[in-house]
Amino acid sequence: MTDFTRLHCPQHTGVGRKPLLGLLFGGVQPIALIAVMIASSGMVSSSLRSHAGEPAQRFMGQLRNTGYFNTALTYLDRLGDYPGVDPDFVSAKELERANIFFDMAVAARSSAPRNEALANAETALSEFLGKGDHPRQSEARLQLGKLQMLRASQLLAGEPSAEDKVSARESYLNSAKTYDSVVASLRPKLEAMRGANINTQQEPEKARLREQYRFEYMNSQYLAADALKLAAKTFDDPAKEGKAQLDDALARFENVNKKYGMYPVGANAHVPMGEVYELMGDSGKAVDQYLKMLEEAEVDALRESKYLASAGISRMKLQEDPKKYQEAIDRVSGFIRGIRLNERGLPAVQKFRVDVAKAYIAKSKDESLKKGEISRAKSQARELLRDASSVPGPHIDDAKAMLADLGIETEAEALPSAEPPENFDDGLAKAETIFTTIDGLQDAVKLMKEQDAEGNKQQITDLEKKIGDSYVVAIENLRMALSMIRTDTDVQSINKARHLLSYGLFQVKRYRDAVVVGSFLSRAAPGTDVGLKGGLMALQSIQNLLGEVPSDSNAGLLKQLETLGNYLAKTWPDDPNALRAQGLQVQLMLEKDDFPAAEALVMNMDAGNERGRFKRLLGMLYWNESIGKRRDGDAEAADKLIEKSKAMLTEGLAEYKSSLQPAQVVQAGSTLARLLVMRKDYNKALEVLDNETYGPLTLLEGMDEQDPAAAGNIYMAVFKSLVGKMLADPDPSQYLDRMESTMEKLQEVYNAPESQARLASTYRSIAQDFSEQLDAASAARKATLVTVFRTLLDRVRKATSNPATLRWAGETQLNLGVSLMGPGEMVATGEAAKLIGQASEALKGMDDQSVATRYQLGRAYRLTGKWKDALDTYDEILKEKPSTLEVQIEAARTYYGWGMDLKKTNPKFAAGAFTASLGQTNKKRESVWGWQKISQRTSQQMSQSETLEKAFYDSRYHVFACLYQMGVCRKSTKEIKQAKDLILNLASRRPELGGPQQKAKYDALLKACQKELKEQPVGLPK
Amino acid sequence: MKMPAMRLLAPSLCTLFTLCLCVQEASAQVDSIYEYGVASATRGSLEGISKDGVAVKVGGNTKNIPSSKIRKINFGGDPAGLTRARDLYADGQYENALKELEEVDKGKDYREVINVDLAFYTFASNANLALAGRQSRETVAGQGIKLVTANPDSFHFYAMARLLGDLALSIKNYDAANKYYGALRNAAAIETKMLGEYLVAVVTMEKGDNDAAIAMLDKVAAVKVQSTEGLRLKNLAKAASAVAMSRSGKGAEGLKLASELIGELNQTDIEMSAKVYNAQGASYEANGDLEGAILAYLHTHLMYSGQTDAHIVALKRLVELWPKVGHPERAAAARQELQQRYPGAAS
Repeated sequence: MTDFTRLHCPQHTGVGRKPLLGLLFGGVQPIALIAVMIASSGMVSSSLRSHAGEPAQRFMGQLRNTGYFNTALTYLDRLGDYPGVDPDFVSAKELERANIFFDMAVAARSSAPRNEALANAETALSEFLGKGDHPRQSEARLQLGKLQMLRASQLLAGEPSAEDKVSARESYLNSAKTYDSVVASLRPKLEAMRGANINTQQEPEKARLREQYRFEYMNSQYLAADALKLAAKTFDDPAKEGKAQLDDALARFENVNKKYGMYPVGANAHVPMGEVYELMGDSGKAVDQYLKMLEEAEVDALRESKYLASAGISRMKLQEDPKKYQEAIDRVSGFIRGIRLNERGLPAVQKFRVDVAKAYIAKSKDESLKKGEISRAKSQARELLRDASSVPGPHIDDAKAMLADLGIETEAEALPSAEPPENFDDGLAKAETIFTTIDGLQDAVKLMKEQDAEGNKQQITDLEKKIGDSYVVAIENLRMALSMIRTDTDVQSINKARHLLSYGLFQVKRYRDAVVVGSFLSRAAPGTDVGLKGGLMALQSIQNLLGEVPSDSNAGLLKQLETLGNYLAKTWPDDPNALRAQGLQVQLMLEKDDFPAAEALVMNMDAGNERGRFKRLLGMLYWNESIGKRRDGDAEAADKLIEKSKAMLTEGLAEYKSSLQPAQVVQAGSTLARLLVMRKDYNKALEVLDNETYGPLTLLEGMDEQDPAAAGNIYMAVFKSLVGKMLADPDPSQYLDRMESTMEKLQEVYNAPESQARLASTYRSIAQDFSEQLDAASAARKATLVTVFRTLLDRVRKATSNPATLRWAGETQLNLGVSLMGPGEMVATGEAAKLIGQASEALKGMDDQSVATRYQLGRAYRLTGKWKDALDTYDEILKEKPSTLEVQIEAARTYYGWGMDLKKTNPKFAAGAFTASLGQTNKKRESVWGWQKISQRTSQQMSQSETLEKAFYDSRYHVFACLYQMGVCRKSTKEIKQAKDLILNLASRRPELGGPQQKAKYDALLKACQKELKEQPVGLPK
Repeated sequence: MKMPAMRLLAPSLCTLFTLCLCVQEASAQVDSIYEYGVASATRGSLEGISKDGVAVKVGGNTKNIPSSKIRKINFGGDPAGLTRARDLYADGQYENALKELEEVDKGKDYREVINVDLAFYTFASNANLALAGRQSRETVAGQGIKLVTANPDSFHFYAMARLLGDLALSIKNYDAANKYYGALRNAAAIETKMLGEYLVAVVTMEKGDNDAAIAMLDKVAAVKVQSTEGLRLKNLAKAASAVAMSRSGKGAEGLKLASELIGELNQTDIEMSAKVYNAQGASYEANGDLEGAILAYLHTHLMYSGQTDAHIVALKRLVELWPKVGHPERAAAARQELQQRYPGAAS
């Protein structure tokens, strides 16, 4: 139901009562000037006149504006005490009294005082109207009409009976008649004035009166129409039973809109027209009117109507099938953030909130939307309904019911209240006592939970409620105490009270209030401990609010955070806590992935631990981003991020000064070290790792608890750096001791059984890295390294029984051997064979014969030409895990190697080996796929990773190679031709052929095929 | 708070004054003298300055303008900041006036009159702020004493004396207040004398000697003067008299007097209106009519709060009276306004 008092009441136009400034111009006033055309009943001309004597009208206005209604009534009763009161005012005393009672009714928060005030207003009005003609008769009639409307709305409040509805209808119809009588009485007066040609300068009184009458004339037409509309609504079926009233109302509104469209009253008529069409069931025309309202000028006098129109659009769109909730939201959501401070309590705004919340709720029920969208829609609805629930009015029950459906409990009972303290000190003392009591209750709750949480559940619940209630009482006491501050009140006590208040508000989750109080305290007591506490309380509250508010709606909070943060950092520059706000801003930027903004904020911070912390954090985030980019194939972007990461981590670590948050510093140092290892800057990596202030190794020693994964990464970085340095250093043996001790530390870190997989993974990484580095070393260097490494591996083997370590030692020795093999050599000889043989013995002797161990053993067999042993080993694994690609490749490779080995001495058996390698015959070892199947499998997955792509090209090569070898062994050109055609076919489809190295192998194979086929060995097309 | 002494003293046609022998300087520059109630300025060059007025050469003639009539003088060679500061001061924007004055380059070689004006407006702005509790009254008073001692013949002399008296009275240093207000009694202009007498009477009243105060105020009210300012001062004296009456147990008489004054009240005169309603309030209080007193003080609070000293009084009384009629929350609001608007002035 429209609360017409706010919208239509002459003294309540817009957002508050404002004095009539006087319509100083004749004729039609353009919409742009509507903002100045605000009227208030009873605030007529004498306020502008300066005359001797008591300024009764002006004083009365001030008393009403301030809300001192009872004092205003007293003043009226005592008018006779004051000399020189304007006789017009005295003669309109009862009308003034009625206005005061009307104000009281509007301000009343419950029905009893409201009804009493309305009854008093009616009595005063009747008395005034009974006195006969008066210049303010029309004003009084308008008030009477308003009163009749209010009476009707009172009758309809709650659950009206049929009789109530009939009475309400009568009251509305009477109201319409009252307004019509105003129009009838003013018409001849205005006509007379039109003819009189009043000069504004020379006859200001008459001009003022003319404008007053004009305003009342227009307004009365509007109000009469509105009364008819409301009368129609009292019927159960307004469209049918109230048709006559609706048609009449519509015609009147159209007339008002047409004639006075340039005035607020005319422009505002779109809303009730929309409502009439709604009642008539014509939603198209209703929406049309609401949209026209939204298109009206942006002036204060039309804002309330725009809220109502927005609410109407939302209602209409939700009536469509399917519900056009998004259209409604798109049209009206802009108003949500535009609600002004002084509009928050308006009934029109609550209606808007509730109706627009319904659109968001409808959206949240659309299961075709993403989870995030649904959740955001619910949050928005919740926010609107929470705001609406905090304002009393007829919408409250609906709002609370909708909130409950959304999952928010609303208070079912009244909160406790405090006895007013006698003075400030009393209030503060009471609050302090309550806080002490709360501490005791919290201890009791904690104890009960520790003893028997389930058994004590009810008691715990009761105590927690008591704690909550106690906070509320403490807050009340503090509020009242703070309102009793005198000039001699101790400032420290005042600030203490403020601090306690902010704390209490925080505890009861009234975060917005806590922000206000805490921020105020920080500014009232700059540089003090209590001021900082207030600021931090505000900060924590903002943080909590940010967790509740959707990120696309938190701009205001972020701004508050920025302002508070800057103030705290400036006022308490040496306190790390004061910098938390800035840190929080940075974190929020990072959560939004807004790295540039976060970096800018960090660089603007003052040098110190906080800035260092954020630089390190940014450095680690850039590192993570670079991994993602590399995975996505954007190597360039990845490299740029690596450089940024390096810079941030280096600077951030350099700014580390104390032992605060060592875990983060350790992580940052470890990340930087790994980055440097990746860049092959081994010296720098070790410098970082060993740094006395921020080095991860230094800090690890001082930490009671170490995260195994973090420590493992550090030791891995140490080991890899040492390997890197060793490879470059003329005296590699100097690193042996440290490498051994690092291996020991790694094992200590991954001591637990559940950590073995992690240890194995770490070793794999080290081994791979080592193998790559070794491959890159020169032959002479390799020989030296092999010697040194053998010593290390011997030491490690002697010192440990850890299976993962032993396996790593075996694998590393194996890799050492492989590194000594010549290019293209399939079977090791000499020193290489010795090393690999030793490795295989070591692997065979291990208790742990896991797949990983047997795999390495199989490799060792293959590389030493023990073909059968290798195949048996792989066959065993593949029976357990047939899809293990590395083992399948090894098995196929073993067959191939065997074939190559037999080729010279026994070509027939060699052909058989190649056939088995290809995968065409494997009666004995059915688990082995062969190259054909490997290449099929990898061709399907090659886009997933570089490794699989490499495996595809390698396996294809071996398919062709097997065919070629089979042809050579059988002296048959068929297979060789097949190989040649397949190579050319592949080259035409995939010209890169896996990169230059692999392509060279294809080229060589093709040439060999061509040669065997007696063709020109031109190789691959250029 | 506008400084009353600047605008109070309209000349009487009978007033004669003589230029002090200590003519400060002659100037060949064009100066503009603005008088109260006169639309256009008198432009000429200053030939003589004394505490009682200035002599301006306009064309071939010399015009004497009493200091009581001078609203402001814009001197030839004025720095722009000083020109702006005078207007800001007149508008009650003391902090902005001080900002403008601070920006003026003090190293430049200005005319002596300009230097005195710079010092005067600085002191006067600070004094008004101190009276509102936003600066130390003792410190500002010290500045004022130095200034007035160094410039006994400035046309600002009586204005400075008035401000010094106001500062002294605000810290209940009645002897000093009497000394400074007393200097106004020696002025040539009758209105300035009346002002001096009125202010000394107010001090007497504040000291608790209500009967003596009433007698002094009656004398002021009895002065035969027809100028607007003179009549106004008489009414001010009556208003103060009403307060004194209420304090000496003659509440009914005080109330009658206050009511008469209200009947003649020019509502655009903020100072007068505030003081009359405060007087009415005091009278009602003396008669035990708390409601009436509240209504009276509310007039000052809601409509004439621009008059700082009276507004402070009204707020203080409302703080005390509201709880007695069952509105402690309104007392709290008044207290809050007192603390926020006039910190340090409320003791």
